Amino acid sequence: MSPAMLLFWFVVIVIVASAALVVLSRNILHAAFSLCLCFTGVAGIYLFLHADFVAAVQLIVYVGGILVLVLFAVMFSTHTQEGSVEPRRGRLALGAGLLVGALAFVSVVLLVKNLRAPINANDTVAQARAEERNLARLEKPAQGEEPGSDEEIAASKARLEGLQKQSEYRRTVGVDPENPIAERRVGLGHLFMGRYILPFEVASVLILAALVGAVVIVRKETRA
Amino acid sequence: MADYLWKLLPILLVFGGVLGIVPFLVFLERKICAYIQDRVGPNRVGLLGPDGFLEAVVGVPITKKRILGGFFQPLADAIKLITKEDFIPSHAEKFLFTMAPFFALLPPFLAFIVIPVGPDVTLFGQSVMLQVADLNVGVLWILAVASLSAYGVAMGGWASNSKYSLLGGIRATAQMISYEVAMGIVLLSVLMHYDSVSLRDMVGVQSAGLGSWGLWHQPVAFILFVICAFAENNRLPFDLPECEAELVGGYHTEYNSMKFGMFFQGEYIAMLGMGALTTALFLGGWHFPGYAWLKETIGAWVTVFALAAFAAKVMAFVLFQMWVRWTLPRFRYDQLMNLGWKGMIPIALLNLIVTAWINLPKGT
Amino acid sequence: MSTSPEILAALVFTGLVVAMGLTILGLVRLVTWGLGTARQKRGKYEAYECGVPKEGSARDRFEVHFYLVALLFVLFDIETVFLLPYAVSFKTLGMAGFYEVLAFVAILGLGLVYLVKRGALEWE
Repeated sequence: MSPAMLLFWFVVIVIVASAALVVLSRNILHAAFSLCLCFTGVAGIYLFLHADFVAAVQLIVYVGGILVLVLFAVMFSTHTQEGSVEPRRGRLALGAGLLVGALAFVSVVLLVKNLRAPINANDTVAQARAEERNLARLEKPAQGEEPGSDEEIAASKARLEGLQKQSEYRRTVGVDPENPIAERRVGLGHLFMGRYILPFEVASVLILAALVGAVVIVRKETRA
Repeated sequence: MADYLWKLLPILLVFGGVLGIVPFLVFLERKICAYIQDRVGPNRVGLLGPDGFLEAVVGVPITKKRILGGFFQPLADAIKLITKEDFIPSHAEKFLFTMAPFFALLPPFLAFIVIPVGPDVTLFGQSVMLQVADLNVGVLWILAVASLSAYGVAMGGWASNSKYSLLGGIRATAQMISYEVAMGIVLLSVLMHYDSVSLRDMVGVQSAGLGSWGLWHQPVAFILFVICAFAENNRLPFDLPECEAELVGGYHTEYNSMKFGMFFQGEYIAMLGMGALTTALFLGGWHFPGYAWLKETIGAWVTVFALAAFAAKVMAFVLFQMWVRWTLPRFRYDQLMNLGWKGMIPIALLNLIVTAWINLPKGT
Repeated sequence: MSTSPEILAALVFTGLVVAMGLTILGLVRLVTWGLGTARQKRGKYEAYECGVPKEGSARDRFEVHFYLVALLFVLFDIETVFLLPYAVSFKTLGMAGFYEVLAFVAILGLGLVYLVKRGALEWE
């Protein structure tokens, strides 16, 4: 097992353990801090996927932002002794948990199955090259090898075309397939300002709505 | 493999440098505070005063005036702090109470990872980068780490289960996150100016001469960033989380022994970190006027001067922080929040737009 | 799967800092355990309230304003993250991108103006 792999499994164990702690801990604040650890671990997973930008965003938004909100909520509202809570045990809670877990599992499976594009643009290029070699071997076999059947050649050609399209697409959105990591953020900017401009602008409206909502809630609190 | 081993050099340089300078900063702060308030300050512990050495030899004081006496005061303090009884108040949340100082220490230290402290240097035919790691996310790392720094304080404040601590912790968290927003937007305009997220590139741009320093090109961002640096570090005039008049010690009221020392250490590392960051972003990093000429003259030894220039700039900023601390009075909490939300954020957003406008290639 | 030397270096540095922090924490405990004569005195383990006996619990409710600040922080944090991809590639996006981001910032500026007008940022 390579050191990177070892590190990966370490991160995975941290995530799973801290997630379990979030659910099982009786102290809400301990749960909140475990959630912090869990989110940080997820950022580590993004790093392993070469999604540095997403990892940083995960740290900034989830660990730095949303968890502070959670902490505040816990700190402000724990009137109970030591902020401890009794975890709900019972058939309903168990059923609901299992249902949510099953749904999450199914959606992850569907997501992974439908994930056609390779995660790493580097892979696209590498795969295209491998496919090129494969095709060449099928069409002009070396001494003592069987040439590929027509179906095999057609399938290989189709695969190659798809891969080439993908790397071409990445190039048009600004990702250099040869050096995807350095250029990925550039691609993201182009996607935001080009193809996904509407969601981008709508996001600002959404933030505005949340902001107004927050103010309204707080004002109601203070008046009461 | 050799590549990996050489990477240890910047790691140890930065780690050792920070740890070595911090105790000295404590001494410096006390000395400066004393001079500003027309006092003498710590002047007993240590042999580094010119007369102190003689005194150690002869056994009796020679002169009344001591110049660097007290230089080892931080060392004495550290020994004292370590040998103090480490007890946890009975009402405190034991685990979180113990971990909080650790989390106060960690984030400011981690910020140093992306800061380049010197130019690339060739040692025994191997080019070594004097920066712990040139991460792809660059300046984003600073933002991520800054957002973590609220945790130590919040944790300490809550786990202490004391009114002063909790008040201090909550104030500190609210203040830090308020100024983090402004800092994030400021960093955006800075990276637009340099057209790169890597601090290495940023310093590279600034090595074109005194006129290329970020300070002149992003003056508004510079001022906003310095204010944010003070607020993020909970330093006066923004030290409301620990204002001793109302909150005793704020979030570390209940802390003792070296656990308190770690909060203390964290604050000074954060000061140093903000100094290093300001230097890298706005003050030209390790670059100094005459660098190119000196490099021609003495070759690779110029690295030593570059490191010294970097250290000098960082120290200048740290001294500025101390000077401000002992000069300005404290803000009121509503003033602090008003400045953050009604002043800093709108100005930072405007600065962002103006920066985009100025730097856009025209005619597109 | 591979880790670049940069990430590895960052990890090593982080490891060093973590080790140092935990060592200090351990050392302090060790010294207390080895040298200490933990005296039990009345009030020693009490929360400090200027020497007066402790009154009530610290776990009280707080002003909702702090919570509002945290909420607003999350919103503006997300805004910063949205602006980031633009900031990285604004030169190639040209004027079109500039106007788009102007609209984005203007909508949020509107939110800020609303906050100020409603007095949500006033502290008593």
